[in-house]
Amino acid sequence: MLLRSSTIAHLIDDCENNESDPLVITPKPDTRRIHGDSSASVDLRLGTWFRTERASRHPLLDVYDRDRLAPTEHSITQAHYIPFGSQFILHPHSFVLAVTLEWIRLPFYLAGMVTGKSSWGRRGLIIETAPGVHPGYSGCLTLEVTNVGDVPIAIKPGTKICQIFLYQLDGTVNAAEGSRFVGQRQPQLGAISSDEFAEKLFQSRT
Amino acid sequence: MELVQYTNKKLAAVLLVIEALQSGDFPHSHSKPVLDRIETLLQERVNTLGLIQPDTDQAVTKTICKEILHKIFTVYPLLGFIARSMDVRNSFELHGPFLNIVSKALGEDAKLIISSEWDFSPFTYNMPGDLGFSKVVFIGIPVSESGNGLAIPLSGHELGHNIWRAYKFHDKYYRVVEETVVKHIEKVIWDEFQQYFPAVGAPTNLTDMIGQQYWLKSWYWSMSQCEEIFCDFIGLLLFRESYLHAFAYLIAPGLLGSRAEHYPNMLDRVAALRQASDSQGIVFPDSYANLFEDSDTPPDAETRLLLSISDATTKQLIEQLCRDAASLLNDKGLLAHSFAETERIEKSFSMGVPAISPQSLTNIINAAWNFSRNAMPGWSHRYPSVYTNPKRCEQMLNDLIFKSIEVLEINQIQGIE
Repeated sequence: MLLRSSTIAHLIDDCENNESDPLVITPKPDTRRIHGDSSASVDLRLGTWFRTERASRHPLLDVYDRDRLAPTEHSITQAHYIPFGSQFILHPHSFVLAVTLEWIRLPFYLAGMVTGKSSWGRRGLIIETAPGVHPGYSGCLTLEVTNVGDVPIAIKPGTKICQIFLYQLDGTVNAAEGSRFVGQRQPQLGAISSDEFAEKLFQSRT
Repeated sequence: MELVQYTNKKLAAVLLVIEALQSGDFPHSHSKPVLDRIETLLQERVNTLGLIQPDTDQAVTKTICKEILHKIFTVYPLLGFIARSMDVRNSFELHGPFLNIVSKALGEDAKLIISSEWDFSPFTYNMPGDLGFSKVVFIGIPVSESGNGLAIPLSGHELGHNIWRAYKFHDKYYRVVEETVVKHIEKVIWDEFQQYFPAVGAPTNLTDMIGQQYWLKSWYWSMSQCEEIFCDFIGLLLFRESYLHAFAYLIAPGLLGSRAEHYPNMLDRVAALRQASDSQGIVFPDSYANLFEDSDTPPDAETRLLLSISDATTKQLIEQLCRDAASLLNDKGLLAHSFAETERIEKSFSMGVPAISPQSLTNIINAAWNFSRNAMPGWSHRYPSVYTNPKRCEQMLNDLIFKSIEVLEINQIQGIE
């Protein structure tokens, strides 16, 4: 079931009274405005940290090459801090990892889907290509931001850049085991994990 | 003219570095006017050099070149400091909320530059007045701690040096320290003092021009110790219990080798912190003093005697130093602390979220220290994968601290109390 904005606003307002499994969004959105909203999402804003790819001495991005050590986040990307009042220029056909200004904590009975805002999309700014947020997640959301247009776009921290839709699960995940989904305040590449199934396929010819 | 050419070339090289720095990616705007000011100062020297003619007196030329060299020598570390202020390992989120404290303490026009330094001790620059940086607070944090939210209270001590200078506490304590030193020699250790310095003759000669020379070092060291104690009190009163923890974290048990005379002895310093904590209702941890050890005493007896005079003098002024620090911070509205809010933020951290609507930096850092010292209550079952990994625990707490600080800044900008 998709939650209405007013339900989300109620959950946010109630977060400090619910010590067991709250929905937290901080900095707190203007819930009075959301209450009167007839939509089904909450807008999220652009944060202050960015991470760009950088030219490095690594010949390619080979995450499978464990023997030769896959390049670390620091060796292939560069962090940037853009304070409030400043802007980041995203050039045509370039890509940056950004982060939401809001730190979000989802209860174990809700999952989220993040999408860009159409007003930005129509200007060539595409946001988020891996939109699912798991129940129990806590952290800022890393956003993949690409300018697919032909003119540079200025983006400022604090701008409403995307939105999150919240869905109620058909039951709850096992809250007693706690959450594995923890984010950070800065955008991160994250690990590309492998599994037994994939490993067998990778090694089938050797 | 060879000297002029050399000096001109050096100036041009430094100006080139400044030009490159000016186009740097500064996260905060306060570095720019400082760089502009340094550029102007050096450009003025270029103009002065241009006035030197082949027939100008050699002595005059040398004096001008020396002054320029001195200026380059003075601003050089500052340029490095500004360059390193751009490093993304710095606590950029701290700038706004800490600037708020700096502005309340020193005035709305105060500027703040925080940098990460390759120096283990946090420090601040005491820039000469003629450079025009009297309202710029430079705070250097050891590079390995510059992104550590729990080390933030140490910045309070460094702000203390700027407050000491801005409010002319040196002038205020100049005579007080002198009188206390003389009184101590006269009333407590006269016989011993006379053994080392028989030329003084009688206690009445202690204050004449010759007599002063014998205890001048004690006065000088005590002045410096008083400033350090005052700065500890500024840090302590601004950040309360978290200052004690950050202080111990960084420097306990103390450094090897003979003690630095300009600093109070470690256990005296800790005793002063205890005295101020008790008078201000700050909870002083029971076994805190056990974390520290005094440094070795100086090898020669005369220095030991003079240092004992400094130590005794400083100890006598602790209460007054604490009163001065508390009164100034109180007048500036900087004693912002709430146990209730600290507890509320701890609960947020326990849930794995930043402070919802934090009121002060002090409360955030105190909540973080309490949470850390209590072994992250709640995380063992809420975030077991984080809890079992100390590195991830530290990272997550650090993220919660800095996100809370950012939320505080947002609320300050939005005027949300």
